[in-house]
Amino acid sequence: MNKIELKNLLFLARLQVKEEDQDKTIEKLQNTFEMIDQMNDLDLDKFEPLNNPLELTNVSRSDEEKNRNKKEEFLKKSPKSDEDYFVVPKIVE
Amino acid sequence: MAQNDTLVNGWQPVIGLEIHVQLQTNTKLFSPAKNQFGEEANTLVDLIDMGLPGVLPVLNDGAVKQGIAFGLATNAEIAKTMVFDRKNYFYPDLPKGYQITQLHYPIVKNGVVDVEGKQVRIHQAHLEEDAGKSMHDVYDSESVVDLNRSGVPLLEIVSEPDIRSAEEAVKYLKKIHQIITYLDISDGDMSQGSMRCDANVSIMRPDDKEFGIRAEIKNINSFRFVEKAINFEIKRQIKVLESGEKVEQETRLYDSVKDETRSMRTKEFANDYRYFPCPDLVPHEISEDLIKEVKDNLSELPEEKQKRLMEIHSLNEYDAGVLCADKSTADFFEEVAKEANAELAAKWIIGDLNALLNKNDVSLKESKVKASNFSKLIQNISDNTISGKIAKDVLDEVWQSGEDVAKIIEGQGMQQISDEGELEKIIDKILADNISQVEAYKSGKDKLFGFFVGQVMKATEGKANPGLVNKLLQQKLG
Repeated sequence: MNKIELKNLLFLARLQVKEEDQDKTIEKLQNTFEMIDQMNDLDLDKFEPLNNPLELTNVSRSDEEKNRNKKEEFLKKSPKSDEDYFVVPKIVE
Repeated sequence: MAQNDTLVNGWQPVIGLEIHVQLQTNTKLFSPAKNQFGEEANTLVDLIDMGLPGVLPVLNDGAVKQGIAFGLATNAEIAKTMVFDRKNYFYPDLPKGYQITQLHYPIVKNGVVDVEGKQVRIHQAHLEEDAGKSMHDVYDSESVVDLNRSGVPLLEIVSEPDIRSAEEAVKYLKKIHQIITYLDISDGDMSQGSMRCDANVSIMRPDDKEFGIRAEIKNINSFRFVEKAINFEIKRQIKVLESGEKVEQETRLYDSVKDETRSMRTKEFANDYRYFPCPDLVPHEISEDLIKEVKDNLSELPEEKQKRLMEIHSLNEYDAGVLCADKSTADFFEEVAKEANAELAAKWIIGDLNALLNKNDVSLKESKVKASNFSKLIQNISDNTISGKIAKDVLDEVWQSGEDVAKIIEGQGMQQISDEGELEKIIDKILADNISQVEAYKSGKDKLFGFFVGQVMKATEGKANPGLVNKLLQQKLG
């Protein structure tokens, strides 16, 4: 992992790391990746990927409406809103 | 294929479509909020759609059944186990910061549809949630977000790159539209965004072994634009390649006003969605019993409906095919044919009514012509209350105003004159006024018969019963 990869990762996660902390962050991440990389040494071809550690399937509900809308409260909780909408920074170029 | 007429200047276009279809469930894919278009902003938003901390999505059985129905209708494999994944990206109309979708274990795989004799394969169809809606024209320097659409179930139908021309792409899209509307799993209304289409387009030389580099065109929101956008893109890529440059793999936006596609290349970084199985949702197994239940309740498909209309109403294959091309037309016909003569109804729907719809570019649903009223029109034609010619005027009036057929006929005195005595009087006067023509007819000028019919129609403003006029004229001219 290098600085460019770190920069990309921080952008994707919308995170900031101070310039002076970046080397330490790279080192920590590197260690984490190495730990995960141990899995590559194993022959896992005969196993189905595990999609969920819970031994549960089929948690679902019937298609019936339940109204839990609290428009005013929802809008108020957001950083900025008007009477009807969430207001966000302009997102077209 | 003996001759390949899909080549453009010696280049073979290769096209695949990704079609997003909004499912017609009562509620959203993972929340119990109502799934409805056109409601007041942010009133159909659940805590789950808001992406508030601590909430858990729960899968909607209704959406699963609709996905299975699509799989059955396209002879596809239905997943034994399907898994939901997170697709991560930041956008203001996606409050969670990820979309729940299906990447490796979609609900439907390996389907096929017949597009006028050509098989187009469906790679997969998967369930996913729709995002909210952003609007940019409310304020000058800010955008606004309505989350009513957030979490609405989508079925994304991904075709194989089996399509070879823009025209074929439109036919395939229409076929998918036909299937989803017949299954009643979506209204397929492109103008309201309940069916949306992205096109992957590349070109190659006919003897090339590998496809060319493709561009993905987004934001195509009508059947007509699909054709235009793809044709523009094919020409653009030909120009690029023939000038010795390379086509870039990129996403392009179709601009219907300028009729062009343009690059959306604004990000420094390539898309990196970091898919992973959604830990909030457990795998979902689809049992044979559930598939059977859906199959037993599957709506009639176009081919079945066509066959049935031919059997029950003695329609010919062509007429039944035209009526069944669009479900709302077929349903309209069936409603009309409950009371009125079926063959006559078919003739008038395929002919005059379709002509009006095409001319005005209006769908049957949007028009003012309702089945019950149209049925009255057909009944009035078949019982000779009005002539076919007058019926056209009545239909025009219904088209304009939606007024009741009986009221139009009565109000404007359009009833056909089928009273023999009344017609006789008119005919006698015409014959008396045109003695020389009568003489000429009697001496062998048969063609003049049409002249007399015309005179009667003129005198009655087209209201005389044509059969009766013929009969009476023949008697009198002997």
